[in-house]
Amino acid sequence: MSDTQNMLNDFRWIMDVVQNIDVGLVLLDKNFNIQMWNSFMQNHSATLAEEAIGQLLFNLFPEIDEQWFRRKTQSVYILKNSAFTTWEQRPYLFRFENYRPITGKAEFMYQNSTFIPIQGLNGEIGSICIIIYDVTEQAINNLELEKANNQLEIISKTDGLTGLLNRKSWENLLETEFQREAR
Amino acid sequence: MSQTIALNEDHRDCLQEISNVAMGQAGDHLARLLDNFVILSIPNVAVLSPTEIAMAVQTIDDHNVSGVCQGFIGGGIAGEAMLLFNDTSFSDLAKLMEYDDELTETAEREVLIDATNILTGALLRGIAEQMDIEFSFGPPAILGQHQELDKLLSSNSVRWEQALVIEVNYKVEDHNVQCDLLVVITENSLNYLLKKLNYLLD
Repeated sequence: MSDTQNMLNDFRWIMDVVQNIDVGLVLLDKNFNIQMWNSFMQNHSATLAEEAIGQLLFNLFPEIDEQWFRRKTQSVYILKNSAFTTWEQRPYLFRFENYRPITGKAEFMYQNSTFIPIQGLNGEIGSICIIIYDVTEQAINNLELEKANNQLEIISKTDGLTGLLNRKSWENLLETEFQREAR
Repeated sequence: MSQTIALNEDHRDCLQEISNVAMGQAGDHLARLLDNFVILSIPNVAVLSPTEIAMAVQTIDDHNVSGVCQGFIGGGIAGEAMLLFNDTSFSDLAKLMEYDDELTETAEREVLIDATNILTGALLRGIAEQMDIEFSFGPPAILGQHQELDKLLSSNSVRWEQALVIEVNYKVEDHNVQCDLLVVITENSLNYLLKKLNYLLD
C-alpha cells in the first residue's frame, strides 16, 4: 500500500472513532462557530452536522449563556488550560431531552463537560474542543440518595402516626437545652 | 516520625527553582486573564505529613476557609492540588472572575471551581513544561466550604504518611483575595519525579 493510502486509512479509522464514540465532541473556532459535530451531538440534538457546521453556537443553542461561555473559554485560550463544568454546578451545557421513555428518570440529560485547547499548526490555540459526557445516571442516583437520606432523617426524628417529634429527638433536645442552661 | 521520603538539598533546590519559574509564567498569564496584578510568594517545597500541612498554611486565617481539590496525572507523576480560599475574600473573588450575577450557593461553588482550575492549571502547566511532560487534569471537586481548616483537612481520610508539598501563596493587587495553593505529590510518584530532577541537574 502506498503512503497516501496508509494515511487515508489512518484518517478514516480516526474519524470513525470520533464519530461513533459515545461522548459528545464539538470543535469551535475562535468566533464560536461550530467546526465539528460528531454523531452523539447529531443524535441528541436532532441537528445534522451539515446544519451545525459553520453556525454560531449561540444561535443554534440559545440555552447557553453567551457571556458566561465567553468568560469560560477565555481562560482556555489564554492559559492553554482545560476548563470544566460539572452537573452539580450546571446540570447541562446543551439541553438534550430525555430519550429513554421507560428507564430514563430525568427530564433532561445531565452533563459534565471538558473544554480542551487545540493547538493550530502555528502553535497558537486556534480552536477549542468541548467534550460532553452523559452523567444522567450518576446524577439521578446521587440526587435520589440525597432525597432518601433527608427522608430517613425525618423518619428517625418523628412519630409515624402523628408526625410529631418522637421520644428520641425530645430527649436529644432536652439534653442540649440542659447543657446550654448549665453554661 | 521517620522520614519516608528522601529528598536531598539539590533536589529540593531544583524543584524550588522549577516552581519559581512556573510561578513567574503563571503570574504573567493570570495578570492578563484577570486584568490585575497578581502577587505571588516564593514557592515553598517541603516534605510534610497531613497534620503538618495545616501548620504550613499559616498565611490564611484558619477560621473560615473553603477548599477545592484537583487531581493531575502524567509522565508517571500524579498528585493533587488543593486550593484554600479565605472566606472573607469571597465577594472580591467573584468580582475578579467577572461574576456579575447574584452570588447564590451554586454560583459560589462555580466561582470556586473556576478559580481553582485557573490557578492550579497555570502553575502545573509551567512545572510540567520544564520537566518535559504533560499533565492531564480531572475536574475540580469541592472539599468543603466555610469550615475551619482542621475540619476541612481531617474530614477526608488520607492514606499517606508523608508527601512532597509545594506551597504557594497568591494575592491580587487592590482586591481582598488571598489563597494558598498546595501541590501534594505522594510517595508513589517520587521515583519518577527524582528521575526527572536528576536529568535536569546533570
